[in-house]
Amino acid sequence: MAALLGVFEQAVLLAVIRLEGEAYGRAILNEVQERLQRPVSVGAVQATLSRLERKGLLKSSLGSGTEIRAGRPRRFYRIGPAGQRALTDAREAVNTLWRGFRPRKEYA
Amino acid sequence: MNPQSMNPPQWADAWLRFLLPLRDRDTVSGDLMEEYRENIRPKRSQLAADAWYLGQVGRFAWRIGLWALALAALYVGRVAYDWFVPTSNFAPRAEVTTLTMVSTLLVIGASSTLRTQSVRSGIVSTASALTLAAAIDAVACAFIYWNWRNPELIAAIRASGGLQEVFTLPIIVIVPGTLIGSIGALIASMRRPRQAA
Repeated sequence: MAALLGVFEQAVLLAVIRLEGEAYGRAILNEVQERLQRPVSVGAVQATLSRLERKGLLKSSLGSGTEIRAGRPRRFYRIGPAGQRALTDAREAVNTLWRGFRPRKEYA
Repeated sequence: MNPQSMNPPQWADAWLRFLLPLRDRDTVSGDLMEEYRENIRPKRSQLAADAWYLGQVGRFAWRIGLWALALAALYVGRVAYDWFVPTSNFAPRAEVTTLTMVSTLLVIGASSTLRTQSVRSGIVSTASALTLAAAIDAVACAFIYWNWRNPELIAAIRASGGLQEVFTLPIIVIVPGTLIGSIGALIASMRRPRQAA
């Protein structure tokens, strides 16, 4: 099994999957913020996207620019088979960790 | 208000673009511009929205912050050494400081260029680090002076070139220092071919 993904990496990968063909930087940022319910910096999302792409878990392609972006293009991300596998591994690892665990009454 | 007329500080946008790798220059600055125009500025005052934008840009500039701290440590370390361990022969200290400074500036220029694949980025990063270091140096040296000044220290300060030099030298160094960083950037650009964005 490859190195497990961190929580933020999982959030970014899941955002890419949820957004389907519309996964570009700002949309991913908003999706991650909504899911994690906290403000997230553009830099943090960008650094994670670059890292995941370097690891081969994401692929990207350039889209066209719009007026609101001062004509600057969007970079769209999509998840690859390695990314899907990494997410499944991360989920299984968490499930294994929690399997059979019952919190004591006073902490429930 | 028309979103297209809402603009973040132009200098911050230009600075961000210099900090980003060539590949991400347009896409990431575009994301930030879109978020500013569509989400941040309509909900906040110009000042608050610009502060948000600067905060976001600042997070891309953490490497420059680290380099600035390293340069400032060099400045302040040398000043403190001259003030608290006075000497009549400054030449050996000056040699060490100068060599370390030149090496650091070459590395700043080169590493920024290698990361972003842009010589201009190496130059801007060096200039930014030097400017920030000069500001940190001024605050740190003023702090040392106000907290430890006594006749002995004042005599050591006079012997080492005076208080004025401590505050003006880092500012004077910005231009020649940036030139040295540019050399580092140019050397780095020769080692790694440019890639299309």
